[in-house]
Amino acid sequence: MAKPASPGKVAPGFPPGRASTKELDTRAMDLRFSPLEAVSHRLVAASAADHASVAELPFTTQIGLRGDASKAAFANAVKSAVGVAPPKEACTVAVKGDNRILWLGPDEWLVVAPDDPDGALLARLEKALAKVSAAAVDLTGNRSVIELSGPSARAVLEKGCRHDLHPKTFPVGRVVGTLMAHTQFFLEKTSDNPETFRLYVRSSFARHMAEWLMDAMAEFTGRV
Amino acid sequence: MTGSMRLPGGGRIDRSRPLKFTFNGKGYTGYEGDTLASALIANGVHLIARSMKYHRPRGLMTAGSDEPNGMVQLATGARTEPNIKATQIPLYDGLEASSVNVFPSVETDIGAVNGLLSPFMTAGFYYKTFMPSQLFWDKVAEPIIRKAAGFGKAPTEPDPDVYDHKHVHCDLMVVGAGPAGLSAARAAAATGARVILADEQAEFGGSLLTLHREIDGKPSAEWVGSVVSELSGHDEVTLLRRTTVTGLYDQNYLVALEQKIDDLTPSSPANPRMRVWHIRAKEVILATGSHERPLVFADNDRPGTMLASAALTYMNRYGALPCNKPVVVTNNDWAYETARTFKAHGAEVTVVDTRKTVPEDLGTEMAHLGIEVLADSTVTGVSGKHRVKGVSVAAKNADGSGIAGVSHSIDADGLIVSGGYSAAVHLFCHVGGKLSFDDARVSFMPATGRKALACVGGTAAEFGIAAAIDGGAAAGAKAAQAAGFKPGRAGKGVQVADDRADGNVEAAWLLPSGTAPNRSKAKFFVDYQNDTGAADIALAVREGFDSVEHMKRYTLTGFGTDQGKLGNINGLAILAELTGRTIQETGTTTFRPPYTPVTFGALAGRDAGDMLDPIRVTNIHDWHVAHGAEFENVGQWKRPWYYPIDGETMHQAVARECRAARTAVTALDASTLGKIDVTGKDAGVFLDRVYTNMMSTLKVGSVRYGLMLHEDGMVYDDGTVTRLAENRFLVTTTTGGAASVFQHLEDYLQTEWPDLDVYLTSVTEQWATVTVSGPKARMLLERITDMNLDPADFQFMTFREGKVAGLPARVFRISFTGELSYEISVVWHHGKALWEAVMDAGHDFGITPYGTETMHVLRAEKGFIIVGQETDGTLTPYDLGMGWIVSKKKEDFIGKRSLTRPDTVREDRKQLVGLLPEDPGFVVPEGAQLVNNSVKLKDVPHFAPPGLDGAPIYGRKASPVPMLGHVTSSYWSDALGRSFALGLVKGGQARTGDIVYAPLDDRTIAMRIVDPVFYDKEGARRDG
Repeated sequence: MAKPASPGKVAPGFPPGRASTKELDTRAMDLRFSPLEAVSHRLVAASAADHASVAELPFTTQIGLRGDASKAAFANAVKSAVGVAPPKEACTVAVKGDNRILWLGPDEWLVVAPDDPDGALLARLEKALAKVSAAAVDLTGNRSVIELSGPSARAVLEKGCRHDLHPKTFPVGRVVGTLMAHTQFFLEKTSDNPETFRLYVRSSFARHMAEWLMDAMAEFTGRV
Repeated sequence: MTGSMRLPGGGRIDRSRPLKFTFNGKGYTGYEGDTLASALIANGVHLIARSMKYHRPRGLMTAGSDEPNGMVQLATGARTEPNIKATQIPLYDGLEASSVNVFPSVETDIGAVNGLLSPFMTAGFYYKTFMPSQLFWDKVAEPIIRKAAGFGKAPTEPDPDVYDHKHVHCDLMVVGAGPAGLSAARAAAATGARVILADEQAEFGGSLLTLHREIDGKPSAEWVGSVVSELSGHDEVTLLRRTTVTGLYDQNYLVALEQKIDDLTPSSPANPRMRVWHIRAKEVILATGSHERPLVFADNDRPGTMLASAALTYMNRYGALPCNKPVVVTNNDWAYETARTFKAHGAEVTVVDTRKTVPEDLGTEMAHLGIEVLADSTVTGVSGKHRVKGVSVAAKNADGSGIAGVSHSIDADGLIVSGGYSAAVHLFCHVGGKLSFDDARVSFMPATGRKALACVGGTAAEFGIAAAIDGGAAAGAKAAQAAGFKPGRAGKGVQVADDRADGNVEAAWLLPSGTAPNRSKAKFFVDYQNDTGAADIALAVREGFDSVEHMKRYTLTGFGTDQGKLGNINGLAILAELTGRTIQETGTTTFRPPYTPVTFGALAGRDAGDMLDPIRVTNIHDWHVAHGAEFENVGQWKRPWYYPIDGETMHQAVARECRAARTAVTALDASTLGKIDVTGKDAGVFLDRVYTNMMSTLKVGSVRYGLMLHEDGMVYDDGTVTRLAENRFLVTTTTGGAASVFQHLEDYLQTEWPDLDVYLTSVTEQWATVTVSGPKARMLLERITDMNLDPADFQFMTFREGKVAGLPARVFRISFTGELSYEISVVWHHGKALWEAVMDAGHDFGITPYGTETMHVLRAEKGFIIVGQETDGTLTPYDLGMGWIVSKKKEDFIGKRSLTRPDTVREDRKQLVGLLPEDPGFVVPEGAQLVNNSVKLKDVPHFAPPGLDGAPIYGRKASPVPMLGHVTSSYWSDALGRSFALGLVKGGQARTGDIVYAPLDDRTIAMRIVDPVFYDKEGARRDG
């Protein structure tokens, strides 16, 4: 066996010097790197508004919510913090202003809200739920939110999604946990004109899903 | 015979668009709208292929997907496709096709010698001849038979084409767009229902593309056009041409294959070559029509032999005349339309009718046309090798069992046969539909089926066009209503002129002849594709294979790419006659998907290349790529394996990374670890039940390592548990086990302990994790955090929340390397920034990124296991020397009871040990077997299981060398300056100091059993 090379060599490309802790502190927000940031220009290039468009909604606040919806204390606490109670009907979405609560399971929801870097909504929710049997967990980093829209959006999804996406069976305000491109995700219908869907995809799978979507869109946009 | 057989006019071809193509290297011309088959017939080419077993010359029997003979090798190079039916290939300019199963050419084929040997090659020939000796079969017989068998050659290059899939739902799926299917779709579509209509042909119309009829006073083509145009006007209707429904499955799930590109146009993601449709339908209507049957008589396979319906199709739809002097053999009225049409095109026609009497109107008409009709007659032979030359005909005897008098030969260049029609019930049977044989219609019919599934037209053995249209409309309206729409209008009944709904079929299978098939030199073919003859079925019966399923497997009847569409019914009718049973009693074999062959590329769809399986990446991935990391697949994750610099080998890079960890500082992207948030007032109780050790006693801010077992007591997963707050824990899992562990825990919560107040949330990708490890780790971290890092204050196995590099972070003092380590977690989208800050801050310490290989070496030096590498689901904590982690105090935990089973407390179980090769420079391969003796592998007789009779195969003997276990991990250690390994050895924990041996291909390595902790046994380095 050959003797190994000497240690202490540094991989190339590490710039010398460093910023102070304080300087970095103020940059925390700028330092965010969303799962699809590196391919965002390609998403733009693959999109054609007349047919199908795809884009990431980066840093959309997401909070995992577990609890017992039949208990008024839980529902009221959530409502006081989010503005709307968690929906009891399966696969539906409750909306109040910019905040929405997606039904994911009989005791599981996803609170979705605009970018909230200070975590104010989570803090409100945790405070409201302090005395209730429940869990509220920050999942903002856990999933990338991808928006797919356009007259051909449904046809794009039909290339991989087994769920019936016809407007009669999957209208605006519905959400479903399903599979596409071998990837688990939540699919929410947010608009009919043009047809618009949100895909909530695990961050590590987001690029794979984006590649798959761009490939599936080519038939409609003509952009490969 | 070649030359133009194109009719001067007529047909649905576009004579203004000639297309050039080659067949077996020779150039021909056809027209837009032709199939390869019709273009060949128009060029007088009948000899298309050789049969599989006897290499008999064969021609086209049919004009559709039921074709057994006319298979070709289509296109060349990477795009070449074997055994494509010429009847299903729409002609395109530049098409290249060649015969399959021939060498050197279809005219002169060496394999035809098999025909001379045919008396010896009866059913069961291969089994009887070649199987007594396994060695002879493996080495001699099988390679030769494989070379000779099959239909064409598979491409050797990767498929350059793009295929995709589509998943759709509908209220009604109509399969088949003939008169019944079109009518059903129209009735349902009118109600607003979502309707999908699919047909395998390029044009809708089905039998109406061949049969010229007047429907309500309009030509049938006009009727088809108006229905198709009406359907096109509905938004909720999807029309799929060139789309074959290949399978019907439970709950009305259908799979269909759409041919989108038929010519040489390159495919792309924007324009795939084929598309697989996955259709979920509330209601299904099968309108797949029927298949005409051939008749069984001597040499009924000569090129030029063709079904009556096919001959009519070639004339009426493609304007191609199959022959000039046909003999039409029939047991029904329908074939007379073919005879009449031949005559109209100037052919000299003779009809042989096997029925006692011919209906008077037909007899009169034929006489008027000058067509000779021989009633109550049979065919006794066919002459001509490459093309029918003459047909021997004889009158039947009084009881129809044989012939009366002698045969006489009729000059002919074509033999047109019709044995009646069988309902195409394949899809109905895919979902377990039961059939009944209708003696009047001489066809199986759908009997007991599924809910929400209807058969119409030919599929229901309804052979009249008016009945098909009316029945389709009624079924379509009913289906729409069942799917929740207001009742549709079935419409009034249609009037169809010359609609001969009843063909007056008189059952005929094996025609009477002078010589029984098994005494004749001639072949009486039943299944053309498998060269199965009537004599083979008789042999099967004599040898006891008289159940229809046994007969099928013994004679191959019904196998192959045509799935016996032509031969099946004749085969089982002959079996019924031989065994004295009715056809109903004999029954059918099972029709299975796919209805017609499906290209593998289509099944794969876009699941190819990088899209075969998700590639999961961390937030830091791009940095690893930019810095030249080699990657390892860990589950679906791409993890950096090692980071070679300046052309380093893997060995050199890993040694350098290891040295940096032991002497300076290193960083690992550990974001892939599974992470689960466990919240609730019973969280501690829950964790006590799922881990072997006690977790509820953990203090807030502390971390503990834990093992999870399965119910069988075997190690399942490992990781750490951190108490974030009184009622909140963070659990980590192995990278590969994350999803399974989460489901396992959720399963227990939901089904076993629903009383516990515990909620689980997977947070694997909420947190990106960077592990900073090495003696200088604290010095580095001090530069980017204000946290108190004093080891007396921030102790081993505790955690802190604070800011690192300005980012909100959780810092854990956990060490998998044995060195001072900090696992720093930040929210996922801060992972890249944290990593870059760590790299930046550690630059002058020589910070070295390391990958999974170095991680494996460092942990192995410390004797830390990797679940899935040291363990394989058969090891208890005790086997791993980890008895210390099994709580004796806890009442119960998953797997506890299994740990005291007699088998789990055996002393000679395989146990984890350290292994030091006596040659310190040699790294033993992982997986090497361990034995007690210094045997050489070449001296060990190969182990092989005995044959079925219990005797050893080929004189091999079972191994006399007892195996002790194997090497699980083996590396070069830079820190130890030598090789080392971990392994499993029977009773190994009591054998410290013993020598065991790893016999390799070229040498045998002696290894000493040692303690599995090789480095820093005291654990002095973890505080730096």
